[in-house]
Amino acid sequence: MATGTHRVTMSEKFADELIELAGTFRNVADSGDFLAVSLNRDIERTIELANGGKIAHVASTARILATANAGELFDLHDVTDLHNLRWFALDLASRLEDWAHGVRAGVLLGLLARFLPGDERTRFVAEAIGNLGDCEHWWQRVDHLIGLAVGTPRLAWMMHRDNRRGRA
Amino acid sequence: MAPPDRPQRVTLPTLQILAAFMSDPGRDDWYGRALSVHTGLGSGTVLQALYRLENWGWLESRWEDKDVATRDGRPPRRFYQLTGVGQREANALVVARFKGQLRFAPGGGLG
Repeated sequence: MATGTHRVTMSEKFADELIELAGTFRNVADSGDFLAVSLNRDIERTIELANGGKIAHVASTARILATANAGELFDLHDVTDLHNLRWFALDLASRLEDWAHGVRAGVLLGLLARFLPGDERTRFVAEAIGNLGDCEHWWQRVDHLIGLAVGTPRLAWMMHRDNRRGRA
Repeated sequence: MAPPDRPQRVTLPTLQILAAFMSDPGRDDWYGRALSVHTGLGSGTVLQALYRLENWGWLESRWEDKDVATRDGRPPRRFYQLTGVGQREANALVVARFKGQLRFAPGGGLG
């Protein structure tokens, strides 16, 4: 694996996981070089792209993927949501700055909101947008969005649990 | 929002959020991003803590006035503040957890 100063380290296991996940999204292969290369199962080129600075937050992507797995454990929603979330994670990694703004951030928030009980979704999205409005730089928005992506499945689990208790 | 619940355990991030509120108990305009910056916690972690604390009745929240937000050229924020119950419970909790390590300013804030 390529390592060193100013370089991203990607474990072989993680590279394999990315490529395996990318393989489930063949219909969106035009969403970036990274995804396209992953689809071609070219591990060396994938790592080269990651280390080239195009993908600055590979570790964060791994966290989002882990989040998606956590969502599966919680059995929150249809597996389509989880696949979508993984796709967003891959696309986020390949086009971080683009994702941090406007409509694309809204789409990601909308997807995350789908994990929550119906009556909590509007507030979640509006509150997140309010907080994003406080971010001066695009990378702060990315960090904020990644934090939400990591924390939302747990929040959703808490909300669904409280709703069940309320009904009991 | 589910009915008020009693805390079975209070996590360290939740304690960090409480400490932020207790540093200025009268402040009524804390919001997620400000708490994230203040504590160094991730946005998702902050949101979970705020949900817990509001569910317990320790915090209450409101939307920022739209006119104010529009004037500043940004979306409205969701503001949080300690309730009376929250201030009492948080004081008792922090004193119990950090006995001998903290001193409190007059009015209940952290000194």
